[in-house]
Amino acid sequence: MSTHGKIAAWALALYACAWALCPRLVAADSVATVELVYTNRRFTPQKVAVPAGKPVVVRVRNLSSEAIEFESFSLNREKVVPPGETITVKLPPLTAGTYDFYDDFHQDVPQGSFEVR
Amino acid sequence: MEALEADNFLPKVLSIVISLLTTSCVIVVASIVFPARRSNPEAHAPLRASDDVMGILRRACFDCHSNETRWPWYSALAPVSWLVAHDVATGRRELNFSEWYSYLPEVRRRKLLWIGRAVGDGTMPPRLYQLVHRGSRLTKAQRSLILRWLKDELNKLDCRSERLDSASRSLVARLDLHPEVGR
Repeated sequence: MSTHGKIAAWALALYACAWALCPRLVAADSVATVELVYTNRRFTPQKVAVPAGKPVVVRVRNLSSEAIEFESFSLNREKVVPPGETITVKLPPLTAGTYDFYDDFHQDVPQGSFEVR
Repeated sequence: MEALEADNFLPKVLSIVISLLTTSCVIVVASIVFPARRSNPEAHAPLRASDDVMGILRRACFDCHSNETRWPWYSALAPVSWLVAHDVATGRRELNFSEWYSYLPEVRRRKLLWIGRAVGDGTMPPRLYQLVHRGSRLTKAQRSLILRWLKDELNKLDCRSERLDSASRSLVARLDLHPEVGR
């Protein structure tokens, strides 16, 4: 392969890599991810700061031995989390404010909140 | 020619009859061997409301959201019995009017908000349920009555308190319980 050919091949490879990676990097940057863990009858953390105007992915891990229901009236979401499992809840970009979440199956579990700023 | 058709007709009918009998046997055996759990436990803290409101809730909601389920005849036949029992168990777990006053005020407040949203946007009662139970359909006036009752109950629970999050407060203030956050 000639020098020009090698340069062209390298340029093509670089372009392909950039094309493949860039959308993912941009997407990863524009989505806020929140991890919640449920154990000993409480969510940790209980107050979560979330940036306004970005889609949010909430991952809820249930480390307890019973099923819970991750629920939020203001976010219009409810999803059962079986013991030992993780669920994902996708949220659209949120406006500033507080959004409560709680376990609908256990009344005594303190509710948490997303503080969107 | 006609004799040939008659010869084919009898085996066809016979095979249909045998298929129907086999299916019926499978349903009966499955219903006996794997019966669905159909029970109406005692109500410990049932909801108290006006006759009008109770009448509507009883007709449209109580089958899945109370311990006063009217189990239809087909709820004894598998596999429908399993689906019905599953729906009732899920419904009671989400909201049980027979246990209404055993919920903490905070929990009652949340449930009222969800009821308001579901009744307001027509997602409850579910369409499939309405199809089977014609009497469960809610008129506009009945929905309004439920929303008025709900507003009174929320006021009793002081829903404007600081304990509500900001998003819910704005929904309640307008009593527009439609979600601001889409699915």
